Amino acid sequence: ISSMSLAKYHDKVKENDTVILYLGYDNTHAIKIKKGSVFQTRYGALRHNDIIGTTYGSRVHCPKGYLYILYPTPELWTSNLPHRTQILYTTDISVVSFQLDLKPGAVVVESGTGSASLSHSIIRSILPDGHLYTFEFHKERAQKAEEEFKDHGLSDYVTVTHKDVCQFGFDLEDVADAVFLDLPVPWDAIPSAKKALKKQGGRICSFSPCIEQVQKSCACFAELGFEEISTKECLVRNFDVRTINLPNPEFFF
Amino acid sequence: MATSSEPMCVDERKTSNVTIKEGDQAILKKGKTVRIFQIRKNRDIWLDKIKFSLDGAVGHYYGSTFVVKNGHMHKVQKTFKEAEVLGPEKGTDNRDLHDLDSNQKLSREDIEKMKKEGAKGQEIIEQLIENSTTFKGKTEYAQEKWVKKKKQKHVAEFTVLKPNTRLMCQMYHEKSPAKILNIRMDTLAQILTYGNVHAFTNVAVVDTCSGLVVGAVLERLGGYGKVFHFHPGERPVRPIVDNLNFPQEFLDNLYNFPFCEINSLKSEEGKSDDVIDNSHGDSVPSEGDSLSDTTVKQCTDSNTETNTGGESTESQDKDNTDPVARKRKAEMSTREANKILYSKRLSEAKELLLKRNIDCLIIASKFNPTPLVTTLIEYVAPSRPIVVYSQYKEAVMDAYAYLREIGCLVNYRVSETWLREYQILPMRTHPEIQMSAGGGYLLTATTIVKEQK
Repeated sequence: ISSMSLAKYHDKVKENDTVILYLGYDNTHAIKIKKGSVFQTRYGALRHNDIIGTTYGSRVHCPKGYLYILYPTPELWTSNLPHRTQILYTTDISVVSFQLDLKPGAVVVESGTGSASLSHSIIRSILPDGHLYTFEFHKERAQKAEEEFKDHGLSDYVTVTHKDVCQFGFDLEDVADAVFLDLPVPWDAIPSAKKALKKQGGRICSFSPCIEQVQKSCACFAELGFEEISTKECLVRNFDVRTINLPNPEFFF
Repeated sequence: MATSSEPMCVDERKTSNVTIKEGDQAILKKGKTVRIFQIRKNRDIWLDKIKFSLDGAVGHYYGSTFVVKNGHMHKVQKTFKEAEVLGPEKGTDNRDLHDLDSNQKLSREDIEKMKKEGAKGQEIIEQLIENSTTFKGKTEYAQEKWVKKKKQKHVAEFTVLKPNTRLMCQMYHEKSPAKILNIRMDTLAQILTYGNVHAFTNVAVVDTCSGLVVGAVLERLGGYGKVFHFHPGERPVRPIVDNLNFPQEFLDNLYNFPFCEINSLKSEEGKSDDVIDNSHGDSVPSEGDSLSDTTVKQCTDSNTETNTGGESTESQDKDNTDPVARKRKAEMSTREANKILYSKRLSEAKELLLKRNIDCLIIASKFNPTPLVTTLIEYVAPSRPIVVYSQYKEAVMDAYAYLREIGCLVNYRVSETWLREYQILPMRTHPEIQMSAGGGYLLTATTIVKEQK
């Protein structure tokens, strides 16, 4: 029985935990601990049994090297989760969470769930007294998300519904502090999203890869009386910090 | 919409959020202008060159829009849209339009007169349009833009909002970015996310940005978990935390930790015992002494600091029925009580820190971050995030290079985020003309179990 939870840190690795293996820069893996299992790495075999009981953050030795066992934060999960769809990465997740004013107690509505990258992050930010209602129109993806939430000890904070909200709406009224849409046709869901928001007001965000979608969504927001409509793009630049020696040229023969 | 009946959940925090009350800290937002005021009856404030009182806001819901008329606020249902005041006539381009003051027939006095007579915002705009010789020659888009500009200038409409981290960050970044070390909202967002700041975590924050980061962390903790605010000087400077108006339960979890106490924490005994002994003395002679007692490291805190400095010795000789002497004695015992409370909190903080189970260390200060990380990292549990912010790339790079050298962290990342805002309008979609250059730099990393060498 899993008592893993992305919700609360705990010290030692237990069976059924999801752990992040850190082998080096850009070399990480997420594995589910199971007695008797073996995970092959470039440093050799890693036996799950050897990790059970170690403290998170420990260095573990393999035949040809070593790696670190890290606790699965939503950020590490996002970098290592199995993709079923294109996902949101931490840069965008951060801005979305911030702009939706997420905090403990917030009730959030989301569609589509996709690979549940953002979902994990939302749940982390709103627990213990908030709730996430997430909708996904693909049956298997909805099921997989539900399984993952269970594996990660987050089931209490989330309700997964298999539904096409663009056709059938959210069927929620006056409950949400925030709504997040990541859909190809968001304007079809915006009226129902508005209904789901609390009457006292709330925040809504629509995430689109194409500017045409953004234009249509903004027009829809304006028409439905939303205010403070703003569109932002956030780009991250990672730096590779190195100390190098620039040789001086020699000007003589 | 009817007033809410008895709420289903007993959480007072949620229901009291909705209505504007006297004494509240409230944000007034007019376009890009964001200001914060305390709602106090019969007191005038200034916003965008207009003077008025905030009384009219009390009792309404947060998120309501108001208009100012004759120094008072009145709630409005909805503002009119630019498109509503445009007539059918429009031009195709500006080849024959000349930019002259004489284009507008109404003078400033005319407009002020209209405002005094209580003309509605829409009426004023319509009058301006009628008295403009060039308006009908503008393109539809130019007309919309012109109306928007006039609205900004002549229609005193704004929204009242509850303060939160997002609005405070926006306000400070626009008005006084230096006070928040130039932290832009996307940077703050990354700090909170990479730090995995959430309920039940204990967060140590080095904050010299007016409390923006401490406030943001408190908001994300929601009252669950503790915050240790490391700060220079005797008392922390965090006006933003005050503006955010957290309930007392949140603030009870916020511990102040002056830099000057770090050494005593390191020696693991803490000088806190000395402080307690000193303040146990009677209000009589020791009071004046302990204030200048350097062994107590000058880290005293008192809300009722009075100028009794050199006069303290006099009061002891005066008659006890003298009201002045009685007041002084009361003040001194409050000061004593505060000192005891202060040292109690400090001991608590030290005890908690010495458990070495901090879940997140955030550094957002004007100081060189490297010594801060190396000093405070030992109180952080293994496999926990560290986030270092600096306005200057060099500071972050140096910290990275040094920390990599001593090998106490993994999963390093040095990054910068860019934020681009867009104007989205049909046939007029483009990035905003100006983009903010400085949002600062971040170093993030994860702690590991310290190797026994």
